[in-house]
Amino acid sequence: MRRHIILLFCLQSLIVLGADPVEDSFSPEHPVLSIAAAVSDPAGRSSSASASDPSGMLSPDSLADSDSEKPGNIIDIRHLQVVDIGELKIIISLRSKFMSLTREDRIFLILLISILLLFFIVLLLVSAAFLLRLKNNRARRRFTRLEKEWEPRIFGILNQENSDPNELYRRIRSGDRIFFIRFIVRILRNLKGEERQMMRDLSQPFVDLLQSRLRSGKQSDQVQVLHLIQEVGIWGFELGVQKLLLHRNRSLGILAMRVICQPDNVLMYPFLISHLHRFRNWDNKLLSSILAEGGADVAPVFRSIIGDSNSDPWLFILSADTLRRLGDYASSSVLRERMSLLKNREQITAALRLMEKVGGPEEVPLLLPLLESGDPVIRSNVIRTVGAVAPDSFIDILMEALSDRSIWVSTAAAVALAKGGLSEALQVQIDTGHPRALLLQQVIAEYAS
Amino acid sequence: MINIPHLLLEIFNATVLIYFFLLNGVYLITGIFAYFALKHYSRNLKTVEIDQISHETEVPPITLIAPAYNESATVVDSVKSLLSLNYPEYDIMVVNDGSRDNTLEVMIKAFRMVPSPRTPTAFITSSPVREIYCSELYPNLWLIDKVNGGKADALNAGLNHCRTPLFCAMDSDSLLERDALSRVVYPFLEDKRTIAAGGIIRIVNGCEVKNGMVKDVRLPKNLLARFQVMEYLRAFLSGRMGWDAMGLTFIISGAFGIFKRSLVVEAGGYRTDTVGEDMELVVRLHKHCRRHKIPYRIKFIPDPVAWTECPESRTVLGRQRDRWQRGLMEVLTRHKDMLFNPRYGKIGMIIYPYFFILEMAGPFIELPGYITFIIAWLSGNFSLLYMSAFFAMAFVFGVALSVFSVALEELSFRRYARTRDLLELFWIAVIENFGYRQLTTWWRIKGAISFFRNVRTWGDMERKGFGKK
Repeated sequence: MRRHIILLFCLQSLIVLGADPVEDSFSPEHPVLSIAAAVSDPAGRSSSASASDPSGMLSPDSLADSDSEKPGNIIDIRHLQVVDIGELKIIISLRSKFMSLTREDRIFLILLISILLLFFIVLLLVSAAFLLRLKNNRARRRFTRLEKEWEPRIFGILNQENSDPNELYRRIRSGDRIFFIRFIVRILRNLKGEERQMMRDLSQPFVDLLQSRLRSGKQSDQVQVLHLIQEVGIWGFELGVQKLLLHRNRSLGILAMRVICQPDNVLMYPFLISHLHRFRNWDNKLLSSILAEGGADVAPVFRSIIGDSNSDPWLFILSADTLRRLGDYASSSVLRERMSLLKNREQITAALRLMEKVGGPEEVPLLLPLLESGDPVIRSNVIRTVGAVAPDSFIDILMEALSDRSIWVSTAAAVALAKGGLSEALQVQIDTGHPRALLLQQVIAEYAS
Repeated sequence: MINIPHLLLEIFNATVLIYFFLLNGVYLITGIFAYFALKHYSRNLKTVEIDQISHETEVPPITLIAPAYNESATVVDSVKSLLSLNYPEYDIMVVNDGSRDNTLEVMIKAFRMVPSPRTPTAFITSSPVREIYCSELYPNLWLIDKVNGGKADALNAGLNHCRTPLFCAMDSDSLLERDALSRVVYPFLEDKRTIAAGGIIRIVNGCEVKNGMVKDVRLPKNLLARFQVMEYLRAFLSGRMGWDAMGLTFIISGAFGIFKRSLVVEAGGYRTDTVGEDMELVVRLHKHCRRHKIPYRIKFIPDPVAWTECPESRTVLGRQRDRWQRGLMEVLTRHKDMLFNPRYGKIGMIIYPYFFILEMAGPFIELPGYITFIIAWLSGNFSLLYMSAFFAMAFVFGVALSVFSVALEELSFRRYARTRDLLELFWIAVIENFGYRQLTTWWRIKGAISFFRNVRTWGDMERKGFGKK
């Protein structure tokens, strides 16, 4: 039925367009124009005739007014089928008519139909954009109103002026609960201590909702729920969060990882680490900074990874970086044993950066062979580590590195000397015309103070 | 006997028709991809905690390189906007490319710049650097004063003095939104293979700007600027977003794009012998990575916004479009070995041919198309009705694409908050087809002629300054 109406509409539209007085462009036999001429009678007689004539034929009289000068344009009504469709009661089969058209006319017809179709698409898009605008405006107004309504009540509870949260709960309609959760998250982030706990308690009645949304909610709802769980704590929601960690949308997975990587969640780290490979393409620094959010309690997990000679190199790098962020001094002894066995450039760099943070002068002899490396990244990291753990004891090495063929190694050496309070040594080099005098000046200007 | 002129006319008409359907077909496909990509992006956006990126996590430091040539009217506002960005660690490096106005003096005075040593980290050829300054007020603000050598040369000078793993190439007359860096760096965080990412450029004309920040987004009053608002929406939201969804980002706008420094240095920096240096770099990066089998990806992100002032006079706009067309042709002819070359994968087989055949050759088909249609009609070889139907179709399709871009904007970012602006955008989608489009075609033809005449100049741009009516 709908298809028939569309066909009919197309035909009527063709009639309107085809009625444009440009007959010269068409042969007198032009069928589209014929239909147009026949049906576009201002009085509408031909149309009504076609609808009402039980024989299905238009009377010659009905066409005479519309196109009296072109008798050849008389429509052959046998090509039209009249079928009941509601009140219009007309269905026109265009197929046979279309096939009887010349090639040019078919193209023309397709062009016209395409124009109409595009025109409808334009109308549709304009309407959609407007409806979207209206919807968004309404939602914004509603949320503003709700926030105004909830805010004084929440602060009333926090100030213990009105300690009955039920009154607040009664005002939250089921459709607004996710929005309420978002609202609570926003407030929670700015609270500490007892007030924070009170806000957490306020979210308790929504635990069931959170559970169900975690399991099977819309992705946008799951995001809101994860944000709240990040604030109120994972316990009770572990399974749901674990499931989202494995979600095909990695961004959502990362959010779940943030929820897991909180102090007191060390028990969940083995599960997390066993699925960490899902984020292998992600930036290591980002991942390690999230992992380090778990605090000092999680350090043994990563220490065991860097101590394991069979561990995945990527996991080693991530663990070393996490331990560096945690400032885990216990890992230096573990690393000392593995240092000489490392072959991969990224692994060596990660180990050196960890050493820079947690190592001591006793580690330096272990690192010096790496200065022979052809890789400037490794050499500059060695120099940085040496500068960080014992600049005074290894001035000669640092001074020598000022003339390294790589600018990055020289910079690391100059920075190490400046940070170690040895700017005077740098100044002497500048005064004696060191080839990298400009770099040394720059480092003194930036770091000496 | 064969009627040669008639035959030629027929062939040309067929070419125009094929071009028309191909071009619009591509627009349609990119539009569809853009719709799904934007939906996906908007959904993902909720999972990204921009505050966490900009404050808590360790993100790669970035150097913003902003070449400035005769930018005294806007440079201070631009730098102020850059200084207030929400990003943990970044340097700003304004490169005064031998300005003839008082850009240097304005900068020195406004930010108390003093000469300061800075060692180059790379040695890409560029015009001599006269002096390097650092601000006494903002230790992360640097100014390189150099002999004029063009935008690419200025970017190379900045790149030579950049010491962060990422750098952001931008125009000094652009305003970045506070979160722009945190957002545009996200592709680098979510995928280590990312070597470049570009953001969307929007038109600042007509908007209220305070302290280098866009406070109120409005449509410009100038009609030419309004047309450009529509053009930018179409090009970025529908075009680049769609191509990006197919993994075919081919252009990162010179006004705002982030690159991996080491790789750009390895590839030789910016080419100074083209006015399309931004596109040329991206094409060369594609080529470099594919030749050396480096896993990589180049991304377009639709919401880190750089606001830019667009030309409001026909002369200046004409110059800009002339330059764009020249730049496009220079880049595409230089790397023509990529055309239909399977070695470059879908870059060589899809996006390069698209730009080469449909974008570069566009004006050579469009303008003669208009003329030939008229000749054909006058000589009685073509039906007026057919011609009208064809133009009506082109018109409605053009409107549909523009309206689609506005709808995408409404679906995703809704920058134009006034309903009246929305209405006006729809109206612009209709009227831009009468005059403006033909004008841009004409400018592109002129650009093509300039290319063949080997013109190398940029042409002067006039700046009113942000927020000035």
